[in-house]
Amino acid sequence: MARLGQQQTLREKLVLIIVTVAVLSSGMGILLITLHDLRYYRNDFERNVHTLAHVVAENVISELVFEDHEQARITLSHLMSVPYINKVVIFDNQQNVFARFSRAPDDTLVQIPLTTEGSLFKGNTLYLMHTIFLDDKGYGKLYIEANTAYLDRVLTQRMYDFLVVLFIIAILAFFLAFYFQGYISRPILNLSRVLKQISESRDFSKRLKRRSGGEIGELYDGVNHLLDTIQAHEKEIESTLEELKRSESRFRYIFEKSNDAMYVLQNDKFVLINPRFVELFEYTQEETTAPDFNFLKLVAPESIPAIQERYERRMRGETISNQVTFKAVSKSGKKYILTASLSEIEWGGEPAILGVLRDITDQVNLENQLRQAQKMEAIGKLAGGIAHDFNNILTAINGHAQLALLRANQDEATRKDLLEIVKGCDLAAKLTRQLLGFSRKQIVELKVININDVIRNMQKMLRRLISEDIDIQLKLNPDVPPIKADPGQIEQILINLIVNAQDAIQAKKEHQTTDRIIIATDAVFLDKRTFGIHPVERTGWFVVLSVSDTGIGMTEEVKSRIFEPFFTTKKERKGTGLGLSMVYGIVQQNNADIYVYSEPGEGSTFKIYWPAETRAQKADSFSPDRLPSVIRGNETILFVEDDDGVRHFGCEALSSLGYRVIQAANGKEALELFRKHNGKIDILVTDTVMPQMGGKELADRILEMRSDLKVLFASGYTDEQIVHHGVLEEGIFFIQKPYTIEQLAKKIRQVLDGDGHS
Amino acid sequence: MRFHRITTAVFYMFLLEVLLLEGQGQYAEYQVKAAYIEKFTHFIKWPNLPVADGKHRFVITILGEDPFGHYIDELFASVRVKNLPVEIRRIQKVDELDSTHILFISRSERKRIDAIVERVRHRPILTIGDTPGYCEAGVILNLFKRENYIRFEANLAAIADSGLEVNSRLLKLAKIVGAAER
Repeated sequence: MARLGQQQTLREKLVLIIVTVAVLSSGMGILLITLHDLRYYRNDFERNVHTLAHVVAENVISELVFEDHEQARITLSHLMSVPYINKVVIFDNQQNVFARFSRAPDDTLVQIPLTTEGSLFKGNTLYLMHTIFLDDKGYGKLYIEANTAYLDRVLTQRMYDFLVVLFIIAILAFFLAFYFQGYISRPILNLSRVLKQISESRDFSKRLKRRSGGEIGELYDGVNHLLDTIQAHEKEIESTLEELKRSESRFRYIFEKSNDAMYVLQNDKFVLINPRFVELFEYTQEETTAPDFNFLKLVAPESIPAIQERYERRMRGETISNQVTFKAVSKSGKKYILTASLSEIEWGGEPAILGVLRDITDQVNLENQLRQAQKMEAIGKLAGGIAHDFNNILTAINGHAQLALLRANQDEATRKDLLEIVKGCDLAAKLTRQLLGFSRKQIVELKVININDVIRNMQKMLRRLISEDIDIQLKLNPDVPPIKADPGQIEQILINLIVNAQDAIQAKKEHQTTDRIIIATDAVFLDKRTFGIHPVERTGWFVVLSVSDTGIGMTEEVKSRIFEPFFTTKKERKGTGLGLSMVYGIVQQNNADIYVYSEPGEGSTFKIYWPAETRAQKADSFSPDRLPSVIRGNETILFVEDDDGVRHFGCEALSSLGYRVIQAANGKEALELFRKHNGKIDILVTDTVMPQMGGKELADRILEMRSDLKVLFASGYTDEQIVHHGVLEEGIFFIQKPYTIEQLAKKIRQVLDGDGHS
Repeated sequence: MRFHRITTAVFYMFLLEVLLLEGQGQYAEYQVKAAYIEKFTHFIKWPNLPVADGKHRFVITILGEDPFGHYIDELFASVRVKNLPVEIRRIQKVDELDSTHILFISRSERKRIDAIVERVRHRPILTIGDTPGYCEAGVILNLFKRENYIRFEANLAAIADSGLEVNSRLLKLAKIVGAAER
């Protein structure tokens, strides 16, 4: 019999229960009937035996009365046909055996268990004693032994029958139960099947069809109601989950796309980092989050003490700022300046630190550059201001010295002195030019040139400039694109840089056998990505001119000041401190950028980036200015100069060269003179910076009257009215103060003859 | 209790009889026959029995020579038949016969048997004899001796004629002579 456990299906259980109940109840019924039968059969048996005794007694009464033993025996022998009668004995009144019958052939009357009227069940035998009466007179006794084995057989047979019936009932019950259990199990199985479908498909919109009333119907209603609730709940969960997913993915997106490196640090170990972190530090996610990874590996050595101090202070429980700027180092050794913004958070139930790292390297560099540029600008303005006035003085001194020399009646000693004055003036003029170069007030004419040509033209001169034990190497990329620059200024740059390199090499106490200066050119493409390294604010092709040396190199502090005028590390009298300043100024003026890379003790490299000239313009081959053969003339010149010394010198000099000179001390006067002599004047030579009316305004007003008039500006430094960033506008002529007579004459001739620029 | 007393009484009586029979063979035989007569009364129903009021008697008549002697008197003196006291009458001729319930026809009357039978025919009288041929002659019950046991034969026709009711159990032991003719 199968156990009634969990593994049975409802159907099996129902069938089992029904069959069990049927069999048990039938069995109980049969048992009761059997018990009843047992009693009934015994009684019945007893009654039968009694009846039989009566009948036998009646039948043998006459034999007994008339003592007919023979007939009595014959009568008793008929009892053979009664199967349960084992023995019958008739006693007469004297207790003698009158007649007897025994089923067993060799029977002997051993013991009679009862002597008086009555019956007795003993074992499987019924003993009965019956007095034989005739008309109230007893004539003897009838003794019967009846075997209940017969009865037992009957009962046993009956039991077998019952068992068969029970078996049939069980089978019938099984089939009926199997048939009828469906009324109960079908709705429940249907319920279970539908619920299973629902749970598998997770389709909570399904509903059960109520087919019946009663408990099953109520159960269906209950389940339907439950499904309503679940469906609503599911929907809610789904939308919440959806929202959560969306939110999660949004936040993940932010986390992953953030341009700031983010991390979660717990117990000094990284537990979470974002892609930018990996990109920045170049350690993989696995490396970073490995348990043995020390976060100090990401800190540059110079910042480690500060970070450690912060760490110790935090450990001591002191309040520390949640912002820190430090230098970080990547796996490959790239250094960054990072600002870390730190928040204390809970991560997985334990305290952790959320850090956001922002790379401010470019920002810091730009800030430094800006600061540097502002400083340079200020210094340049100062230098330019001084140079302006200084140039005027110099022009006067030099001019008058030259005029004095022109006068022939001077003695030899005076002449010598005058020459010394002129020489001194030349030196002073050179110095101011350099200053002006730095302050970007030098007048340049930008031409499209090939930088390699310029360098090659200078090669011999450079060699002479540098001591012989220093090797100069040229590494010129033949494919560099042309640039727009002033060739003369490139020369100036190169000379300054090479002299500076030589000084750096010579400043080194131990000379290496391979002391060398490398001059290299190359073409590079810079885009926003490389701005991190080369913070040029433009994108495109650049020509790089680099000058490297194996000299002493520079410290950061020196590096930050090298472009300042008069800053020098060289010993007294060895340098002016203006060389690199001039280079800086020129670079700025040429729309280029300069960078310095230096390691103390190892050497320095100066790199200048020129934007490549992309316009299809053939580079002019560089050549020294052609000198005009004739510098004399007879044209009329309107000479405007507020500085008396200069005006005086200019007028005298030009007159001596055959020109007619009309002079004016200021713009107003010049205008009046121009109106007065209109038509006669061929050229206007004017100072640019004058009180009341500047040279530019003057020129504009005069050009309104006569647009074809030639104009030559002269200035110690150019002002914005005439030049933009030191570059002349189209059709504007300019002469740098201080000028010599020859320079002035040559320039005037150029302008008048319409011969090119400057 | 009564049963026991009776049984004990009967037992002693029989014991006495057996002792008496030892010395008197002839009487012993009739002693048994007298007892048989008494026993027969148990199996016969008389239609004309008087009520037991103490006046009426159960009458046994012996016709001819009396073979019983005093035994029969003694026997019936102590035994009531059908709850009636018993009166033994002895007659020599059938003409003397008055109302009786049992008529014992002695061997001495064998020559007149037919007339006797004819005389009591159709009357409720139990006729008993112990002479061979009596039954065939129409006597209802006729005792005979076989293998030292007293047996009897019965004439069913005579029974039918007499109007007596005879218990079949009695007939079961009897040798049946003749069938009921009507």
